[in-house]
Amino acid sequence: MLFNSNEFIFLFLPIAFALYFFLNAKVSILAGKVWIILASLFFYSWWNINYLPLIVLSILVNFFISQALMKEPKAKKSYLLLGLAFNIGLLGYFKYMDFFIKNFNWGFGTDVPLLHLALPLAISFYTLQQIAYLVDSYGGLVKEKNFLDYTIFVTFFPQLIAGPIVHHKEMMPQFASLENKIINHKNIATGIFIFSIGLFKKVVIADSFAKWANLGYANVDVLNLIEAWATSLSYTFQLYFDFSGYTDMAIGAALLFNIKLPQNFNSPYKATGLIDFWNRWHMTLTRFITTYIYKPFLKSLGKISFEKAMIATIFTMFIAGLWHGAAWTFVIFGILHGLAIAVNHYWKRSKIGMPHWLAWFITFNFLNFSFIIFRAENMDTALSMFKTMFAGEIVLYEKFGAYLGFLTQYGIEFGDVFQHIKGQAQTVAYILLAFIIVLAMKNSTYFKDHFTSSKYTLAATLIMFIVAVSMASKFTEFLYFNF
Amino acid sequence: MTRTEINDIIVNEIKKVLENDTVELNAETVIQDIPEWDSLNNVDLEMTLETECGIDFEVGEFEELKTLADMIDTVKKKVN
Repeated sequence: MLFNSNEFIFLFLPIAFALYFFLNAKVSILAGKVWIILASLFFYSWWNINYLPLIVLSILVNFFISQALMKEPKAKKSYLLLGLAFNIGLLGYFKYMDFFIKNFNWGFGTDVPLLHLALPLAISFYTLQQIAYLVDSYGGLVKEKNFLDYTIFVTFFPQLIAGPIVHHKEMMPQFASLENKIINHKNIATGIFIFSIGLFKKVVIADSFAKWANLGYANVDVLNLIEAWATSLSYTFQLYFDFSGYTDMAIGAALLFNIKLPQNFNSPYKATGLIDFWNRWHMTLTRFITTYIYKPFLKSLGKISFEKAMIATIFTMFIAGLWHGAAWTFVIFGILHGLAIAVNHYWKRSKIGMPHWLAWFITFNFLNFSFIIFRAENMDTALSMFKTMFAGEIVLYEKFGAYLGFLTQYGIEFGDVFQHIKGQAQTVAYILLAFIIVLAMKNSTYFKDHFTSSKYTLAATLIMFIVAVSMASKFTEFLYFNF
Repeated sequence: MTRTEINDIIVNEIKKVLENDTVELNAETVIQDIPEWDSLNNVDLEMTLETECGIDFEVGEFEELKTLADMIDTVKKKVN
């Protein structure tokens, strides 16, 4: 069930919400908890019920290993290793097995058949969250041990499928808190407001860019230079509005239940460096990999030095790239980002200044290029896109021909500029508007934190909500569901 | 180890990694809010405290500590 579908907005969410508070008030807190778990598992099974046993198994195994680990300190290392092996094994089998077989076949000239497993929805997200719980149990940092709260922490439907990647320490106390069991009108108003912003971002902005980006990537070989730039920018904006729109909807839906999810985006395209970018983009993933991969890896290298820190950074970003999917394009994406962060650190150390606008310009273009590799089916497509962006055929608007006709002697043509991506003046307008939104506007976290109920916020909510719902004719899936 | 000693280690390390002697620090300073502070600096500080005070932070433990005072409290508890 997608957040932008009618069955979610008009049936599932209102029913889940109403029954939750009814049970809390009239029956018991326990009933409320059981209800939210059942509702979340139903939400999960809506796509494909075959993977329900997998998530239930993952929860049971992780919870019981964590408890055993805390009860028997002597054997805790064995339990930790067992737990890690289970999680990484599960993720490895379902997500990376075919990738491994393909590369094995290629390297050794063998012909091992592929397994063709479909990626179980959300497995990348719920596995990470549970690894954190397990590692923290090992470190003696876990205080909450209630099984129901743990299960809600993993399955709570607003964040189950594509994050934010929550941490047990910020979630489990919220599920245990009695204060959160009472309906809170301010949270409901704020939640609906933020949900509407997210819905608008997804349906109106991201899905418009998706049309041009998809056509562009499907026709890489015939694009002209301007189309190639429009395609790559469309995807860069689609990715941001799709993912941050999803996150806003998650944060809004959770607020209805008085649950505060962590911030995941902080105007990332305003970043003036790659270190800055990763502190603003998918912030909960950055937090996870910094704490659970980067630091332990760096510490394992012995006495810290700048060079070792850079190696750890590149290694961590390699893992982060691979986390997005089992393909070489993601590996290259991760390593490129690792290298760029290292360059950023070296530059910072050098204390050489750089104008703010130039730092932004370099950062944004790096991101736009790296997202081509991220999006392309393979490196050939990505390289072909780069080539067209710098050496492609230049086609300008037909109308300009009257004044600029002399340019034809330089190989410039006049015609239908955006014919292969079925774009028109609207495409240019959308790209310009998107730049204004991501660079000049406050972000949804700001709006959430400064929310007050008034006729203006009500009007804004209604407009965004109605426009988005009326435009959501076909429900395109969220990009991050594939990761 | 006294609170002052731990405080000095932290303050000196922050000044050293930022190469900045004029940065204003007190017990209530939130480390993450220091301008130019990044995750690399944070690991530096964590590992310096581990070596100089002879302690060990668990994975994820150091990130929990927001202010200078939080760090001093936690280190003090571990030393004794």
